[in-house]
Amino acid sequence: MKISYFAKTREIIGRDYDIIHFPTDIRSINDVVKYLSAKGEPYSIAFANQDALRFALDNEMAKSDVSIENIQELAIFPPVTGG
Amino acid sequence: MIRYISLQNCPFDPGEELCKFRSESIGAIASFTGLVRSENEIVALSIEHHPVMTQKTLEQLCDMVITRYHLLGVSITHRYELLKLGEPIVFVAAASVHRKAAMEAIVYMMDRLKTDIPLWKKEIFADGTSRWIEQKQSDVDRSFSW
Repeated sequence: MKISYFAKTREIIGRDYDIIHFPTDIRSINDVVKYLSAKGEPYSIAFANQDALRFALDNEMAKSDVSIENIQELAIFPPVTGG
Repeated sequence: MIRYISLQNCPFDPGEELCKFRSESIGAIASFTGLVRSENEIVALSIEHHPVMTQKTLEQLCDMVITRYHLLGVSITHRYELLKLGEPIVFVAAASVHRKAAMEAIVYMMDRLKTDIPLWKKEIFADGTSRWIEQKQSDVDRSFSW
């Protein structure tokens, strides 16, 4: 699965995206965040405050408890500040 | 129906954007232009966007506001990448038969832009440092109030 990062999250991670093959027990966005955070820095820093993260699955906004089954891309980013 | 969306990395003229509304059935046009202001000693603003989602969510916002306010036209232009002080960041306009719908529509669009569209602003300072702007709770509260 492609994990894309934007804005502050991208800067902390240090790259635009990762391609990761997750174990079968990683089923939701929450699972992905926990899995990556457990790998340590920079993920543990970027995802330290999950309330300050927003997610999109295949370009649609999604809550953190949504399944990642059959999803090609998960985007992770901070709350938006446009306008 | 006039429906114009532009995400661009170059400056634009809000006056020219307004001129895109040409219809004898339009009785009112309301618009808002947001500018880069010199606050916190910034020298520029940088805006990041999501190449796919930003366009898509702007289209959804246009469709929503046209239906909600029975508009005859809507226009949104938003910059990304580097902006100098004084340059327009965003332009929204709504055209309708009467003024109330157009004026309410631009307030609604701006409130939604602040919370729903994948754009992120970063302040650039004279010493070369930068700082991401955090989402304001007041913007979230306004967006939820609709």
